[in-house]
Amino acid sequence: MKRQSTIRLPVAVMITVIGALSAILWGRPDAALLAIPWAVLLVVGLSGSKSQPVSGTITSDSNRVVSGEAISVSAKLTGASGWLLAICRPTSGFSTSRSDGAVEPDDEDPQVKSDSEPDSAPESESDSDQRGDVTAVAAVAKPGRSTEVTFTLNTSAWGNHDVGRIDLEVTEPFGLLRWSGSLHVSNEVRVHPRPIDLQRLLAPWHVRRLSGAHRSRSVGQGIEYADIRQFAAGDSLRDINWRASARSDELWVSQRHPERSTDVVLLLDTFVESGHDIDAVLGLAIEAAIGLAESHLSVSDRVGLIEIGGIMRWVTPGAGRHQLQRLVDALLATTLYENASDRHILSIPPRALPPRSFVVALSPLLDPRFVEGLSVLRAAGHDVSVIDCPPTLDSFEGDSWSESARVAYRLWSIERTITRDQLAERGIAVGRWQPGDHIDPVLAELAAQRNGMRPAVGTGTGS
Amino acid sequence: MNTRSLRERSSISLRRGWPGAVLAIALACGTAAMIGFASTVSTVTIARVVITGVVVFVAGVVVGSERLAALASIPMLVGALLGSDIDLGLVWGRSLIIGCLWYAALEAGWGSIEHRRIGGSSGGAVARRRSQEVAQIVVIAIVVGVAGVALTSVAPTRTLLVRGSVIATVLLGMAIALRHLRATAPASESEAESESGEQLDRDPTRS
Repeated sequence: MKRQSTIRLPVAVMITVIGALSAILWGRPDAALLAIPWAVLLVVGLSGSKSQPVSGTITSDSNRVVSGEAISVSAKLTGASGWLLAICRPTSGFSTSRSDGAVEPDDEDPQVKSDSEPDSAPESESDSDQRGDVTAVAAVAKPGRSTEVTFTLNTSAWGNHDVGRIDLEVTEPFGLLRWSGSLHVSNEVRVHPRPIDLQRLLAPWHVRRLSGAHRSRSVGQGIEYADIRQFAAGDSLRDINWRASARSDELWVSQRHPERSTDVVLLLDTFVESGHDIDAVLGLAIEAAIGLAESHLSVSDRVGLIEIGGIMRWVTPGAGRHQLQRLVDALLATTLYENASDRHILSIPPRALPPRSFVVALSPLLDPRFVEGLSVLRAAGHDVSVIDCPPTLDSFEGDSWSESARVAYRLWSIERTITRDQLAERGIAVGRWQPGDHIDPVLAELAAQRNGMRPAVGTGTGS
Repeated sequence: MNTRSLRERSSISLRRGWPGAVLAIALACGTAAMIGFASTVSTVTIARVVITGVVVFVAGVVVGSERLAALASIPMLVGALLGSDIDLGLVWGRSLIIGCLWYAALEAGWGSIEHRRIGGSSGGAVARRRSQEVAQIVVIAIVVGVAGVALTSVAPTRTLLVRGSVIATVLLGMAIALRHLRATAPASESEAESESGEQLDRDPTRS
């Protein structure tokens, strides 16, 4: 904590000295009387002055929140005596709550608490104000007691964010001296994107032998009707189709598609060519990835993650809520790294990319290395679909486009169309997802494309 | 300073904390009225000086400049001195009341500026605490002033010994205050940080 004087100290010294000297040198005792309040202020204020070894601990009520939700950051401060001003300076991932107006003295103030007088102490109340990205809380701190100030921060962007720091300013009683310092908040808050409610899931071509929610192409025990055949020894009486059997002299049994689970691998494009606008491109992909992961995990699928870009990272497929947490943590830590080296998708260990996985790629399809990797995956027998998250071109909208820009944009669009067509020829469906749209229409578009495609030859049709 | 940027960039608006500003201006006008109406020597110069002081003070409060408000002390106190006649007994109480009024006006003005800059209103706990402290100072000042006046009135003459003792007292008080300030100052940066606990550190952006 660093000490400095307020405006009161020089003013009080100046008036006191001038008053005293005037009284003595010019025989004007009224000058001394004019300066008496300031002399008293100096004596009383400085006699009570002492060092302010303020220390404190900062806690937040939650380390995981969904974007848009608020967290409470509490700072418990000890060693302060006087008028305490705490200013919270959150990082860019947070915004402060806006609640204009001060706390009235008789209201119970949730922002400041004193440990000795938790309920009724009027001096534990505070004034608060929020301006821009700072929040100020003013309180009265008593010596020997801890003061707890609470800030409410709104999360504005997903990701892993440090809360920031709290600047402290303790003005001593009578306001002559002021101590200032700051408390750094070491807490990291993980802000999840808002969950996307998916109305449908893509049906994978290949499924595992474990039961799940995806209809298998094979026949067996299940719910959905597949076909009928003649009764054979060993068939269950429950499977007899009595309506079909009544129309003939033989018994017929219904065949059904079993419901199976699958391995879903989310393939995230983190090449720097995706654009540096992490919110527009990568943010869109990550929000979709979390939504897909949550939906597939809820139907007993195993979900994994592979990031291909400047660095390669992966999360081996797994099931359950712990897996969702692992995936979300990995996705929130995703960032873009520049790297010019080739990335071979097949260098990923098989446990991270099981054979015949259902790969859902999220990419703006800008980097040829990633596009090539998709083809390699498809050729290796994986079921691959792509959700195209193209970069927005808002800055070029309207009449601001020059003729050369229009031509460049047309060429770029043609190139992207060619890329999508080439992928479709290889059996990779591509759905385009624009910012602001719901992902369900994209999944419907992907499902429609996949209906016209066939699984790769020799890979089978699932169990 | 960490809070300095907030103080500097925050826009000052009278919408927030206007009761404190109104109180400060009222106290300043009360001080001016006290100087003018209770003046034993009535001249145009005194009126001009006092009005200048009030205008400067009001400008400081409205603009949000603590220094400008403090600067108004010079014309106000000069006006008070010009308007007093030491041969009259009334001047003692008058000067004391003017001094207390002006102190309260300045405190109210600074408090208003502070509240408008960092937020809050004059109805908060901090404002109430400050009001209590101002009241304490005023009460003590009145007691000390009355006691001083009483002691001076019983003294037969203002001798060189009395003057010398007053000067010595003032200088001694200043020396004690400076010594006290030096004693409570942080010894060094490292010691200050170790005192402050693990999580407490200095603002790295501070120059």
